[in-house]
Amino acid sequence: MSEGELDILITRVVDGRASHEDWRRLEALAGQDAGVWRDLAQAQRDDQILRRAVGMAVGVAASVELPAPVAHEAHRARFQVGERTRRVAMWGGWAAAALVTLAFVSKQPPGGTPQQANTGGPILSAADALSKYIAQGQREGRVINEMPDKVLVNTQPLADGQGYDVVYFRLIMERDRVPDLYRFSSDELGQPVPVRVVIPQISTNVTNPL
Amino acid sequence: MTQTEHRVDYEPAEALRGSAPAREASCGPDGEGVIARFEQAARRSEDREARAALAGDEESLQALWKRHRRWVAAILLAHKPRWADLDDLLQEVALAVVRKMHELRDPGAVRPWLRTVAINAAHAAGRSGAKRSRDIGLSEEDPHAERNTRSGISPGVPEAGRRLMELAMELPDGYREPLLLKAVHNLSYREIGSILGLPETTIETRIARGRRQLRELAIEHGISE
Repeated sequence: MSEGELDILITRVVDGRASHEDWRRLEALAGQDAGVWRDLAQAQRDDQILRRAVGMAVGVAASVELPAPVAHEAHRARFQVGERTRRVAMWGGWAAAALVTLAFVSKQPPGGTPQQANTGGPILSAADALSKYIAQGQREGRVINEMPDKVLVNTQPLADGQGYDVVYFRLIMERDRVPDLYRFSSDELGQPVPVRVVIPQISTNVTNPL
Repeated sequence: MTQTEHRVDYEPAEALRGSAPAREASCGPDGEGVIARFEQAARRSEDREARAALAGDEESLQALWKRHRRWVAAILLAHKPRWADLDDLLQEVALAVVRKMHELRDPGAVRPWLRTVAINAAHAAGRSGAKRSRDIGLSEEDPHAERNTRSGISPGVPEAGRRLMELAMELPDGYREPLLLKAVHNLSYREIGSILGLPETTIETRIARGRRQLRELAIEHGISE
């Protein structure tokens, strides 16, 4: 008997395909060499471990749905917007590493904090416009709040030595509702494309199983 | 594959030809007929679904994807670079399904087409990783070492399983792919053969040889006694 023939017999047993004749031959071989049983046991064990491991590894497939069949141009347009956002996010990530709570005194808009801003009347300055935007956004439910910390990007002493030129991000937390969520992947040609993300819903409507 | 390799591949299975699989033997002639009819019905159903999907029916396309995505993931696993994320690559395949599958005409070509797309996606990831590593001066063997060496195997996989999978990745292509396909979803030899474009006897032989090599590697690396 060749080694290949034994391998076939073992693999048929492992896969539950061995016939009576296969078993008879396997037992005859094992009668001559007890190592056959050891090989069979090892193959069974390896197969169980591998099935469990591969099953877990490919489990991610269950959450990968087909993207919505949107037109190619729409894909491209969304990508362009998304790519800009991604770049800002990357740069923001770098800047966040140097997050500093700005301790300089900024000029508050007339009317104080956004919550206290007067939303009526003419816009007196950019800061006033921002305050009115935040107040109006909060009423509409779109704006949650402005984050108290700012992200420092750059500082530079002024030429006259009277202070610093400070560049920073303001962080405004907002809420929106969208029909779909997308993440950016790349197609088989390496071109970035949006792919719909499905976030599993966890039901909170729990009833007593008993 | 060369003619000689083909002949050698067939040899052990041919030697045992005539010994029917246990499920058929144990079921007897009647059981055998029931299984055969069931398999035929399943094939017809799959064929109808593929035809509708290729004709542009979105629901059928979704069903087709759900039917095949697990084994597609296994193909990606067999070919992707270690550092590449399986779900990212799977999403690339999903996108190709939406964008290009309608170009297929033969429903019977769906499985080989999916396999080709998956292999291309995995190899493209490898090429982009190699290029990137050259750009930033890293070893091409581990192009994303700066990403803290992700093995690409789910973190939840137990240690023995993870090590065995890593050893399985060292098997030759011809053995690795059918072995992983068999390990996922328990695909039949016929199904694996239709994906790889090979006869069932060749699939059986390759799985048998792959298992032997894996056993030997496991012993060599101290995973098995």
